[in-house]
Amino acid sequence: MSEDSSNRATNPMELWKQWFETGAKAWSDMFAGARGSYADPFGLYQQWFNNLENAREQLVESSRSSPVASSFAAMTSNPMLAALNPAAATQGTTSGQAPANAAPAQVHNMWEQWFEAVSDSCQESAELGREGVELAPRWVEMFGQIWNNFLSADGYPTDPLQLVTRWYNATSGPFSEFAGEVIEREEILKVTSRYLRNYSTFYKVFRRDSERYLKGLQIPVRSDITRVAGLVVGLEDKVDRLEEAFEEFEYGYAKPATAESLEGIEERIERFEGMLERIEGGAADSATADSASGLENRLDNVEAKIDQILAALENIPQSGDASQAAAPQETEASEEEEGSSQVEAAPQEGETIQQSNGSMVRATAAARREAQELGVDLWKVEGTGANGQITVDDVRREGAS
Amino acid sequence: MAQQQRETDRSMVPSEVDNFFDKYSKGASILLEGAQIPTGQTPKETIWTKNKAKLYHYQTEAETRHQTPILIVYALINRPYILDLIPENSFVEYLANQGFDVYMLDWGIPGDEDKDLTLENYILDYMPRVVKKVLRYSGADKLSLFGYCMGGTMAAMYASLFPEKLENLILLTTPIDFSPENLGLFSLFTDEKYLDIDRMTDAFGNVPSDVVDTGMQMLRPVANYVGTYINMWERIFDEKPMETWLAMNKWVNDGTPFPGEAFKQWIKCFYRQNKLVKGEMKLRGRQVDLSNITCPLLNIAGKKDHICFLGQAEPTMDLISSEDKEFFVLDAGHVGLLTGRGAKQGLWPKVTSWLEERSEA
Repeated sequence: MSEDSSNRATNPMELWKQWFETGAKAWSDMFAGARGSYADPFGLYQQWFNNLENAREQLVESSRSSPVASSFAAMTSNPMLAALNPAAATQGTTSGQAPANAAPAQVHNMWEQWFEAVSDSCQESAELGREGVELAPRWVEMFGQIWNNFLSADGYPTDPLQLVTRWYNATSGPFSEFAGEVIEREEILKVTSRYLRNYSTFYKVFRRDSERYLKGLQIPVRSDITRVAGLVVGLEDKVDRLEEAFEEFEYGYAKPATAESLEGIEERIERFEGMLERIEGGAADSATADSASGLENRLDNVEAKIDQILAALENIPQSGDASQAAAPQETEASEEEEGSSQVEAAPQEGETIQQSNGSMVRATAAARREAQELGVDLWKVEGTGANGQITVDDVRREGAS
Repeated sequence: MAQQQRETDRSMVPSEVDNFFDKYSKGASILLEGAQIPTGQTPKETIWTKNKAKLYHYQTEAETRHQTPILIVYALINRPYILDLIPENSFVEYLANQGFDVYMLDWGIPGDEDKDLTLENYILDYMPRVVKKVLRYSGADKLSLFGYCMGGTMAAMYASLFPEKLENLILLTTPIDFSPENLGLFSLFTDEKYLDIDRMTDAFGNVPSDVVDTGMQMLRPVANYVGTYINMWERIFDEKPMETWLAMNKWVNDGTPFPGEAFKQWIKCFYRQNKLVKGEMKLRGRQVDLSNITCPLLNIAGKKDHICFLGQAEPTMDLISSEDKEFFVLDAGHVGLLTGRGAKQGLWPKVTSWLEERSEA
């Protein structure tokens, strides 16, 4: 584990996975009632942090004693090197191995392994490993910055999240710069592009061979499906062009005629519908009759009221010297009656009519009109109005009987 | 001693431990299973499809107050739901709620059979068809074309070939000038020396999304690979809302393959030869001349954009002929200017106010 730990720690996802695995185990153990010493992630974190401190001290010491490390002298003042590689540090201290000499060498290893992972020959990776070492001063400078950033906040972080956040904040700037510079380096780009090229070639050969093999077995392969899909796409394309042509026709040249004739037809249909409705209305007799009789009643009521008003108006001039014109025309046959001079008594006064036999009948103008319509003889009607005057209602009652 | 102490702590604060465990498992499941959250929730209708491409018409409850439709053209990289991320944080939803008639062209996820699709196919076959569809569907004579990133480059090319269809043109973080000094790391990543594009497309057909994504993420390796997750843990433990983070993370990891031929053109004609600016870009023999663009232009770029640098977007202003043109710079990154709190105060109101003055009521 110790030999690949450096490699693992450089990969952030691996770090997270490690954290997750340890954490998950701790929690599951705890809930299972186990009493492992690592049950508490905070405790785990403290332990880890202590280990970092130990590792840092040991690194500092080793730099004084180790000839290998002396070439990395500047690095010793940058204990965050160990922080970058916590797994190794933990491993080293807990298993009792002094990481002293190993630590600077790990930097080299790390580079080697990283390049090995992306390059296609050991020789190249060795060369690049040396390139990595050449980067060391820049690397050291970066960690110097990180460490300063990290400690610039007050005190040590108290929980893992805080640590991680602060570590990120301390790291991201310098490391981004560093990564940017590294990515731009010719060696890296060359290796990466060669890797991509080789991978492409490998993929192509692999695909060709596996397709050949599967074809031999009479199994349809990806390229067959692609071909069929291509045919479908081609067909769809034709349908789309047809649709487009139809649309051109529909919205283009044919538009005025179509729209016009449609409108014409619509209009005619509307008219026809109107006619149908009217016919329907006629057929719906009961409803019409009902509403008509309702209306008739209301009209009658209105008429009765007008009648009363008229009667009142007709009586007004009697009390004064108001002109005849003020009285409604229907009073042409009326005869003035010496009567009350009181205006409020006016409605009680009715018109009188002199029949051929000389006797007089008192009836309102409306009543008289109604009597004419219904063919009712006013002499036979008993007036219920004021002073026995005959009203419209009286005429109707008579007519109905 | 320490053991005892821990025992005591545990018995004293079980709820806290429980809480910690909840948060921890939440984060772990996101890491292991990927971010899961519904995106692209604004009600929409698909009014046209062709091959993998789809044309959406968005329909919210808001009344359409501006008759000039907006057609959004997305890039061939990643998925377009970044423009309609989640309710309340959706550019499309905002536009629709401001009374605009919004359409979006989604290129879809290309399959192996699409490896031969070219920029000609997209710009000369798909886009004119889509524009016609939108105009017919909306009943308008002209539209406002809105291109995002590479979709903007395509929109600009379309606009130079069919300027009569456009009322307005909006380019959002749209690279036009690919002079090497403007490209940052991309100039190296796409260099002939390091990228054997023919071999790659020959082997893979379409360029796998991983390759494109890795290229993008390696521009900011630390921030993308580590910072994102630090941010996640912080949000979880501080009990901040997670929706936007989840949606963004889902989007970032939801790459699409890039159609092989189109990718070749994209790298060769643009990143390597910078043809558009030099006036050498031709599509099926038709010269693409940006000076044909005369409609009002709003050209938006992000100061912190590391995918389309300011220097790539700004020269557009001199290449087009429009008199009514504006270069609007936001202090944000390539995606950041489109989503989040900053966008709601920066980009979104800018776009709507600019359009309101230039759209038929």
